[in-house]
Amino acid sequence: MTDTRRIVTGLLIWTGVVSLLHMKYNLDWSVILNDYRAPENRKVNVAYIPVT
Amino acid sequence: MLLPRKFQGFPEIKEALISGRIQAAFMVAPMAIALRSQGVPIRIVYLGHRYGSAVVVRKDNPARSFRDLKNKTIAIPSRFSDERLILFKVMKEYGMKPADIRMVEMAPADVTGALAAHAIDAFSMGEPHPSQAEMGGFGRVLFQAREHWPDYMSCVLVVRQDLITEHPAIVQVMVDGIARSGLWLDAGRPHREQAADFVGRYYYNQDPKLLLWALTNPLDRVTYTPLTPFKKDFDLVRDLMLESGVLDQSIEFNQYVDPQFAEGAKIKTAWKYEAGDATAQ
Repeated sequence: MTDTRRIVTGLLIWTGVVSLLHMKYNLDWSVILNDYRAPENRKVNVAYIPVT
Repeated sequence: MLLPRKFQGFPEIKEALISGRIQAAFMVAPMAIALRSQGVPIRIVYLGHRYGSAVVVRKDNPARSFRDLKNKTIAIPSRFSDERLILFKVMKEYGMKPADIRMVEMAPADVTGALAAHAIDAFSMGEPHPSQAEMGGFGRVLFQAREHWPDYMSCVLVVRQDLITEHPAIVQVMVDGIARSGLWLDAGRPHREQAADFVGRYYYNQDPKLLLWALTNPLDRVTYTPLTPFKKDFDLVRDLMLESGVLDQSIEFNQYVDPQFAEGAKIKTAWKYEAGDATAQ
């Protein structure tokens, strides 16, 4: 394997790992999935911020 | 039926509510009144809590009264917030003019860091930020909002009119749930300890010790009854908005509040829930 190929492979793996971690920790999948439900099955979105 | 969605600031909630991406929201009362005044199809149906806002200075600040903050910089969460209106109310009491202090809008999450870094002299904000400054050892509560505004309220539950018209039963479930949660929280310290733990871990993503401080130091630092929207409370907010220039024209209570759900609360008992239970009843 050439150095260029090693670097590209490493970058792709790194990008993949970071993307997976981002999807796990930063995305709220319940919200995303809710937006794709049929209107009659969709839950009501209630917004809040962590402050009184 | 309901999906809680965490946001980081009120402006984002406002935009999402206008666009219809969210159907209900907890937001500061003046912002809700201003939006309704501008024709956004929303109504206030219930309160989120009472009290819970404070003006905080750095611990080493010699200020003993609000008058001592003349020519100082104070952070507020929004121009359309009760935390701004309380400053106007107190300035009036002390015979001060609006130009006597500098107000800067800042996202709630940023104010404690700004105070600690000397970027601001004080902040007027809701919990848990006053508690965070106290716990961190760099902040001191100058006064609680309730000391100058006895029936103080801040966040209210706002619902889009189309949800009220098409699904009133869902709105009623929401209001009933908040009413029962309020009764449960005001039943005593053990429930507040439990709430601090699960809300900190599962909803706010904050240290439960911080929420415990805010909910128990003292127990009535934030209260959750009564949450029915009263006309006299909102008239005061509206009048302060007019005086402070964030509302162009007067608006009547029944134009921005829909009291049918507070009046129609079906279950008026606290949740039956203890730590370790799988569900509340």
